[in-house]
Amino acid sequence: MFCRWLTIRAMYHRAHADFRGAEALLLRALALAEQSRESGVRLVPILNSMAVLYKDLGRYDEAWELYQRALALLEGQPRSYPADVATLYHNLGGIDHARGRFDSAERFARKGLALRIEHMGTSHVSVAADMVALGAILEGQRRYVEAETLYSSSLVVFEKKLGRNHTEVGSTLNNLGALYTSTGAHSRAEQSLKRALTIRERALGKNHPDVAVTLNNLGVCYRRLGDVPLARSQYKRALSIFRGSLGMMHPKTVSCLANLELAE
Amino acid sequence: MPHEEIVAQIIAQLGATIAQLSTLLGELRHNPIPHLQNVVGGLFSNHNDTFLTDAR
Repeated sequence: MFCRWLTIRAMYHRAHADFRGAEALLLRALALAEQSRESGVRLVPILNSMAVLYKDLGRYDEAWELYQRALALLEGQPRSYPADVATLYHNLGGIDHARGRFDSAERFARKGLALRIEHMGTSHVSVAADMVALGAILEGQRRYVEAETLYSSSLVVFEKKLGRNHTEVGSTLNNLGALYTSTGAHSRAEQSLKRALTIRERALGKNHPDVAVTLNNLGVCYRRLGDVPLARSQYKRALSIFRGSLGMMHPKTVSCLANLELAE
Repeated sequence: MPHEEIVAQIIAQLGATIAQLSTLLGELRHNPIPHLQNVVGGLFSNHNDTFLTDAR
């Protein structure tokens, strides 16, 4: 029970971009759980939360190991946990997406999605979240039409079931805006990204890395539109957030700096 | 202070605390903690955010 409380507190710190605080709490939860010989399913939420955090921090190999450990624990149980297994597939696909290994990412994402649909039907918000994650992987493979279909249908589900200002709506609009930028639909891109930015700033605060992701994408959109000064100002704000929250060596900080240098 | 008055004060205090907690819970429902609104299963999930890199 105390380990669960530590895990929830850790995810609260993560939500406020305090990644060090979150890691300290999760390490404590894991040590306590292992000490008290808690095994099996009780360890899974801690392992998964640590992996989610390590993905945020760009520590992909460590995250991968933790997800695999959690998956092995669930698969070794006498009863099945389809929703949790589906989430672990979703998250493993997310690591491969972040590493640019899109074929492997697609396999994990589709396994998770199929399992979820089998147990929850097609209109559940969790299914919509899986579809957005798959959409991002297909977008990485430049399969823009398929990705846009997944984003658009998920957006309808999120807006209807969670409201127009939910963070899931913000994440989906961020991805849609990025897709429109890649396909040259800059006006629609700007519209989607600005709305994503408003939602994320309101929900997460102005200095959260997810806000910086959308600022970076807006920067790319403005540079493609030829407004270099506006692009630079978005990049600079994004870079300041990334440096402060994720550090200089994080892949997003490095990519954002490269974008800024291109616009100088 | 008579016992009845002490009991009345305790009840009044408890009532105020419950009302306060109820207001706070209502507030939390309307302004949920970001990213603790975990929509995927019982476990937390990552978003696959698209992050654009520009090309010359």
